[in-house]
Amino acid sequence: MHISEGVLSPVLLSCGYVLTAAGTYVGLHKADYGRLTTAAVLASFFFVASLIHVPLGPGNVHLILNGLLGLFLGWTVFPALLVALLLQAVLFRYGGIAVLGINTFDMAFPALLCHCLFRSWLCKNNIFRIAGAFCCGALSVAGASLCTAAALALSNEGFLTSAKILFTAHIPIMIIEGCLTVLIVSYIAKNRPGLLGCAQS
Amino acid sequence: MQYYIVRYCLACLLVICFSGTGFAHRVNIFAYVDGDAIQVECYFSKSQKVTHGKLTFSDLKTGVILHEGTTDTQGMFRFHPDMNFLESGHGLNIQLYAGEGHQNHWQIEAEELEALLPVQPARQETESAPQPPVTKTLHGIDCNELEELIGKIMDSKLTPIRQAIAAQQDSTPTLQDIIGGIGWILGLLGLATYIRYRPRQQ
Repeated sequence: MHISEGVLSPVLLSCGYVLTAAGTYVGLHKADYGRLTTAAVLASFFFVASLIHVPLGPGNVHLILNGLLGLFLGWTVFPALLVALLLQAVLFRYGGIAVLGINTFDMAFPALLCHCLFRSWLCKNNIFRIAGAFCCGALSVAGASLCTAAALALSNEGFLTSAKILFTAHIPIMIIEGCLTVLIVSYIAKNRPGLLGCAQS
Repeated sequence: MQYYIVRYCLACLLVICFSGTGFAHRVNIFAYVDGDAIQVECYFSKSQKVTHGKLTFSDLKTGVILHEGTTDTQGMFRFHPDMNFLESGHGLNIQLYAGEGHQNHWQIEAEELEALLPVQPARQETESAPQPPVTKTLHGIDCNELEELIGKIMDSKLTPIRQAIAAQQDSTPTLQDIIGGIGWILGLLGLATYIRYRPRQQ
């Protein structure tokens, strides 16, 4: 899912940085500082999850977990993903500094949308909770694939074909991440329901 | 309790079953002069080769595209540059497009490409008086043949070294990188907590 340096046009790179900066500003402004530890732990999950990959045909794809972060963090997903992706770029050389903005936006924006759509489902009955968690996990990956595909297609028409492949290749990851999110949310609902924040809402 | 243990084991099993040892985020390219051609190796990791990756060979100085090709199932490609390019004395830039936004490049300097130029025959000392060509020999062996033979032996001896250098290009994340990254995140958490809750002067 990480776009390499030198692939996108400067205009698109600038747009990515602007959008990510705006998201990060709002995220920091709205952050619940009482739950900073949750944000750090989830950012660590994201940082490590990218190392688990799924061989698929000629290429392979990796776990993303942006849906899980979006579900629990809301707008804070922007600064959390920015830090995790920056460390991946510096330590693992995944993506790069120039594409950090667009990579962060590609993964954080769909996660935020899913948070807005499905967060309230977690506080309803079990069926809604499972459905909400699965949709958030799966659709965040789908959204990230679409955003990455759109960025590649906008930057260079030649990438359009590979952009289509990108979305298709991530379908198994959508299912896996949907299931993982269901497992994690179900566990939290039974053992630490306070983390879901339903009592406050 | 047993229910949760079983559930966790299943979740871990799911992750482990689908996970491998390779990492597909950074694509690597390595190229070197091998015999009479340029050998290009492309891979995501040691076990994950770039199959059908698009390669573009261009003049390092002018940017003119010389050739385009596609890697085989082993992530390899062999390029025979034409004589006009070799005689220009320019370097070579090899760009790899591995799809899904992955790309990388490798440069070969002109000095390295000189090995691909054919050996020039010894110039005649006096052109006015044509003489039968004299072939330098060493204990009955033609010097040109000897040079070619040594070149082949050197190529075969250097191949493992080249492959070892190529393997070093594979910057697979180490445990230290992973722990270091998590440490950075926790450090930033500590910093943010300190800034938020630091004692303020009245």
